[in-house]
Amino acid sequence: MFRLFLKLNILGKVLSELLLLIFFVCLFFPLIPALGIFNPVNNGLTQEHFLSLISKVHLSIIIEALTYSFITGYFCTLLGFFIGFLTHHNFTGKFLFLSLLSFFLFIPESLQLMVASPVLGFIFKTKGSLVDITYLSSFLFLTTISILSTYALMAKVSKAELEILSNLGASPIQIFTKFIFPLGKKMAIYLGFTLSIQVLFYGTHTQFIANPDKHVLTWNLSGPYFLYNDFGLSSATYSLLLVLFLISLLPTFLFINKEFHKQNIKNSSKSNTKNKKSTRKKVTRKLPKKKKVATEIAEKELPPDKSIPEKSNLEDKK
Amino acid sequence: MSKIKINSLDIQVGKETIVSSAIFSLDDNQIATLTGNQNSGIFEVSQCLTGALPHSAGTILAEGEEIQGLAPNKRKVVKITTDWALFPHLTVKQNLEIGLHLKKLKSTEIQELSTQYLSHLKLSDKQAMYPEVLSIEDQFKLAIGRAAIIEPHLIILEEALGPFDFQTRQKLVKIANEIKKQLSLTLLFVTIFPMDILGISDKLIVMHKGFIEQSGNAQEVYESPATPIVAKTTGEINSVNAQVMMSGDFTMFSTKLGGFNLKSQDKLRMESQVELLIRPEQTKIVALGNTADARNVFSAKIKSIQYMAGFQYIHLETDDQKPFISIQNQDCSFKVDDDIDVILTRDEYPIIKK
Repeated sequence: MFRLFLKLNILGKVLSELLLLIFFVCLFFPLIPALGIFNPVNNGLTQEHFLSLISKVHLSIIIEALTYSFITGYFCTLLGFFIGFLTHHNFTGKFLFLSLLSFFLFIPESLQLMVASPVLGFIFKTKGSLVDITYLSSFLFLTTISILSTYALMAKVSKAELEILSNLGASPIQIFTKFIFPLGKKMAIYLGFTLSIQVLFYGTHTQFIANPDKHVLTWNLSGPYFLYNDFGLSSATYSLLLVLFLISLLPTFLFINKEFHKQNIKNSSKSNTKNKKSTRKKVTRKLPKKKKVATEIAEKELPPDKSIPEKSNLEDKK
Repeated sequence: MSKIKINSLDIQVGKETIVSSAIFSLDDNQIATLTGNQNSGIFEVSQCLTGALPHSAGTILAEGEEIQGLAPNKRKVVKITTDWALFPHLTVKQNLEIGLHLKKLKSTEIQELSTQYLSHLKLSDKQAMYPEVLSIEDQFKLAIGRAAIIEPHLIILEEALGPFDFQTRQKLVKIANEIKKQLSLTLLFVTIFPMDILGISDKLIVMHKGFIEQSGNAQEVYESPATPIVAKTTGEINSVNAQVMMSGDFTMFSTKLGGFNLKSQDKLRMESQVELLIRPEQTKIVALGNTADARNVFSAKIKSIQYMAGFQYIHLETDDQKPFISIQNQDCSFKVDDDIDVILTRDEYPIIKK
C-alpha cells in the first residue's frame, strides 16, 4: 500500500512538472505566427514591427496607460491589504469569504466591468473618463489577488505577536499601521508593481467595449491585429507583453526567494537558541583559530563538578 | 483591595460550558499559579482575562473596576506565551518601548521610562541588539519588561517557561521572581506543570473540569491537597488505600503495604475506607531491616531507577500491586531488584475520605 502511494506520489509529481512545462510552452504559442508559418507573405516578425511600436503616439499612450495602471494597481493592493488584514483579524467566516473571493478570480472580465461600473459610476458620477472606469473595473480581480496575498502574509505572522500587541494596548488599526503594514510593506510594493504591469495589458475585450476612444494601451497595440490582419505586429506586441510581464515578475520572485531564505535562517536560529549546545558550537565555529583553541583549553580546565547539578534541591523542597 | 478579582466566572464555548463559577483573587505584588490538566479550563480563564475569549457570566475586577466588557487593548492585562513573541525586527529598546508608543506618550517620557527599565532589567548595554542575539535569560527579561513597562494590572505567563531544560527553567523562575520584586508586579503563571514555579508562588489555584478544586497558599495546597486530583496536578503522588483501625491522637491504618500509625486532623470513623496521599519525597529508602526507631515502614523491591537532575526517581514494586515512587538524592546507592525498606518520614499525610 505504501509503495503504491509512493508510486502515485511520484507519478503526481511527474505529471505536475509536465503540466507546468506544457504551460510554459503554451506561453510562446502566440509567437508562432511571427515565425511566418501562417503568413509566409509577411515574412514573420521583423525588426520593423518592434520599431513601429515606438512612435510618439504610442509612447504617449504608454505613459498614460502606465499612470492609470499604477494608480489602479497600488490602490487595489493597499485596499486588498487592509481588507485582508481586517477580515483575517476579525471575521470568523473566513472560508466563506475565501470562496467568494475565488468567484471574483474566475469571473469573466466583461462581467467584472458590469459588476464594477455601477459602483464606480456612482462614485465618479460618470463624469470621469471612461478609461478610469475601464481600469478601475479590474479592481475586483486585483483586490482579490491582494487579499489572498495578505492572507498568505497573515498566515506567517505569529498569532502570539498579534495578541501581545493587543494586550499592550494596540487597537486593530494600530496593529495594522504599526506592525502588519511595516512587515508587509515590501510585499505590497512588489505586488503592486506586478499587478500594475498586469493591469497595463489587462483584458482587451473589456476595454474595447468601454472605451470607444481607444485610449487603452492594449487596444492600440493589438488593434492592428484585428484591423489589418498583421500577424507580425500582433506578435511583436505579444513578445513585448511577455517580456514586460516576466520582468515584472522578477522582483517579486526575488523578494519571495529572499523572504523564504530569511525564514529558513530564522527557523534554524530559533532551534539553535532553544538548544544551548548547538548555539555554543556555532559560536566556536565562528571564532578565529587561536581563540577556538583557547576556549577549548578553558573548557577542558573547568572542574568536572561544574557540570553536575546540585544535589541539595530535594532538601530545599522539603 | 485585590489587584484582580474573579467572581463566579462562567465561560462557554459554543454550547459547552468550559469554566463554571470560578472565583479567585490575586493581591498586589503577588505570584500566583493557575494549574490543572489540559482540559481543566485554565487556558480559557487566561484567554478570558485578556479578553480573547468572551465570558458568559460573572465579573472580572481589576483594582475594583469591572473589565470584563472591555476590549483586549483596554484591559491592561498582558499575556506572555511560550515563544514570548518578541518582535525580531525590533531592537531590545524598541521592543521595550512598543507599549509606550501605543499609549502615545511623549518621546521624552518614553525615553525616560525605557532607560529606567533597561537599567532595572540589566539590559542597558544590549539595547541596540536584536532579540535573536540575546541569551535565553535576557530574552525572558525583555518579554517581562516589555509587559511591565505599561504598568499592567496583571501579567499572565502562559506556559512561558518554554521547552527548556530543568536548569534553564529554574533560572527563568528566579528571573521572574527578581523582576516581580523589583517592579512590584502581579504575575499569574498558567501552566500544566506547576512544579518549577511552586517555590516562588504565593498562591496556587488548581482547576479540574472547569471548576476550582482548591485555592490557597502554594505550600499549603502542595502539602495538604484537598483531593487526589489536586495532589496529582501539583506533583507526583502515591495514593494508598487504607482502612481506619483505631482512632485517637494517632490513627491506626491498615493497608496492603502494612500498618501505619499517623496523625489525623479530622475524626475518622472506625473501619471507614480512606486514601492516604504520600508525596514521593516524603519517603526514605533504607536497606532491608535497617529501620531502627522507625514507626511507619513497609518493604518493597526496586523495579527501576530514573535519573533526574539532582534526584533519583525510584519506582518500587510493593504488596499493594500499585506503582509507588520514591524520590531520593543522587547519593542513594541502591540498584534495581534490591529489596529495601521504605520509611514514611512524616507523622501526618493528607487523608481523603471515601
